[in-house]
Amino acid sequence: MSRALSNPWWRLGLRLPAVVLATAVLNFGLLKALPGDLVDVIASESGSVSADYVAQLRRLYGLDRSAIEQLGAYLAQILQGDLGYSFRFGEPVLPLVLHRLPATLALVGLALALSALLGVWLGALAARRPFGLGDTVISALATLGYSAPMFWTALMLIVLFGVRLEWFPVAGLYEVGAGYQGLRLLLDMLWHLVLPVLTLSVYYLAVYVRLTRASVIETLQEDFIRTARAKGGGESHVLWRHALRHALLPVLTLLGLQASALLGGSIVVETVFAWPGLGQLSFEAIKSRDVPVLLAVLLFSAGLVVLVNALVDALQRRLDPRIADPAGAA
Amino acid sequence: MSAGLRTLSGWLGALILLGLLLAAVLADQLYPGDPLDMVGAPYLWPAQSAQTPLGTDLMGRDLAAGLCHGARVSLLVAAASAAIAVLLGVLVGAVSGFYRGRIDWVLTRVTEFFQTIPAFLLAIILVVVWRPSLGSIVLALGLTSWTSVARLVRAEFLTLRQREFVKASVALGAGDLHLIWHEILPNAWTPVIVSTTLLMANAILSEAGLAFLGLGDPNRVSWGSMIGLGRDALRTGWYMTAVPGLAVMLSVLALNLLGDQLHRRLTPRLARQGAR
Repeated sequence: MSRALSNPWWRLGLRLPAVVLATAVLNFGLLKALPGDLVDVIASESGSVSADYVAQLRRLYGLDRSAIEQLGAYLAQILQGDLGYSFRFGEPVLPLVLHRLPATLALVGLALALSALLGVWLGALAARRPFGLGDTVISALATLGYSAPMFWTALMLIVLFGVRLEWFPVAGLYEVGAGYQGLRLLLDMLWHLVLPVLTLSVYYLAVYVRLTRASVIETLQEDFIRTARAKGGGESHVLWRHALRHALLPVLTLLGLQASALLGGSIVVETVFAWPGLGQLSFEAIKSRDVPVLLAVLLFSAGLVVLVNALVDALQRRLDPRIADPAGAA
Repeated sequence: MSAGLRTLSGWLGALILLGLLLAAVLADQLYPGDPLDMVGAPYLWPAQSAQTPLGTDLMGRDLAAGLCHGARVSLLVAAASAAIAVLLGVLVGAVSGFYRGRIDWVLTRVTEFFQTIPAFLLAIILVVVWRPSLGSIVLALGLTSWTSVARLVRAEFLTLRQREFVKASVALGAGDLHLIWHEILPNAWTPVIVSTTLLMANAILSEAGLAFLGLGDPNRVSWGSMIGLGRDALRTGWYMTAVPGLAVMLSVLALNLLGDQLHRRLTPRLARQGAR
């Protein structure tokens, strides 16, 4: 591998445009395969429309040109930052998506952080004494959390904490009508985020617990751990300082892979909790066959995943210098 | 957990799966007629009536009948979509790992790309494009979940390709197809078998998710659509949501337990260390 390609930021610079381009082409193909196009939808929604008007609309939106020409036109548009116009929501797509993006970033970001931190901690605890009591409880709970469908967990949390105990709000971004400002508004939003974040975390936490446990157990057999013990390091020092640092590498790899799964999971969770992010937007867009919105959501999701993976890459280099310079490691 | 208890949990998983399979096969005998028909008063809680031990939903439909018929959809979708994913994954992984070079580069980029875009979102779009039906759901879930198998098989092929028994076969003049099919693939099944149980577990979760969002087969009862319907009565009759959700959880749990057990059995080194 050349020097430039092993630099994570160079790789990001190459990967991001490639993934965005590939996503655009894939989406274009998918949406071309939809039965009926945008003009059919407009025509059916407005009732009786003359054939002349339909033909005029097709020309207006470029739907009368060949697929290759349409794809070229679409890619050129994206390059100019124009992601089209949403007929469902009656506004341009780019601001619509950007407007919904922060809600999803907050939800997915918090869930990712919570499940990774808590999962790594619990996984390392379980690995301390494999098959012990603590391990049994943690592993059993992880397997359970991993098995429940997310939207169901969400509904059960709503029943328990929203309906029975009335501890947490169960829908929306903030208390409508309360007129909160500034810091109070932020706290209110975080309050509304408790249940959605918990739902996503219960599932993904389990994934991190299982992987961290396996990885730490394997690491504890390595020679450098024996060295650390021989040097007189206490058991917990060896575990948290030496073993965990090494065991975190596969966990980080998973974190990058999970970013995409989390975005998928946020669709059902946002739908249940009426959290106005990209997930809810994309479901609304699919139901109303809002082509440009859908393209934009997928584009942004793919871009986000690439960014998260670049971050993971950089973090892994920090933890293990051998990755940064494979030649020097041998 | 002692090693014995872990083995027990594997058997428990197999037992639960067997029960589900029986419920699915015998659904027509146990609950003849359309499970979407009304059989009693609505809002009957579980154990409230002897006739409907798991209660009835908003429209007086028997939840137990729904569960049995729903098991068919879940198991069918799980098995069929996992089969598609394994087929695609083995094909991509085998070609990639066997031939290496340029074709490997291209296929690896394609695999990475499919790992980058949210699989569930893509599955939703595919089901919408093809209209919700059992076939479209199976195809959509299969087409969006093959990447893990492809990576596993590719890794196996890359190492097995260098082994002496393969080189010996090459020296004897074996063709590519013989090498892939008869020499390497039989030795690469272990991780594929383990990940098949995980694929099926994921397919059950995704199918339930699709049905919950209103993208299930409109002519069939599914656990996900039962949860979606029960949601309307969440405040007054939460059991309508809880019961089918528990069915999903139990079947996914069973597959996960079975997968863990297979993993331990098929990779003895890990079993001794207690990893995973």
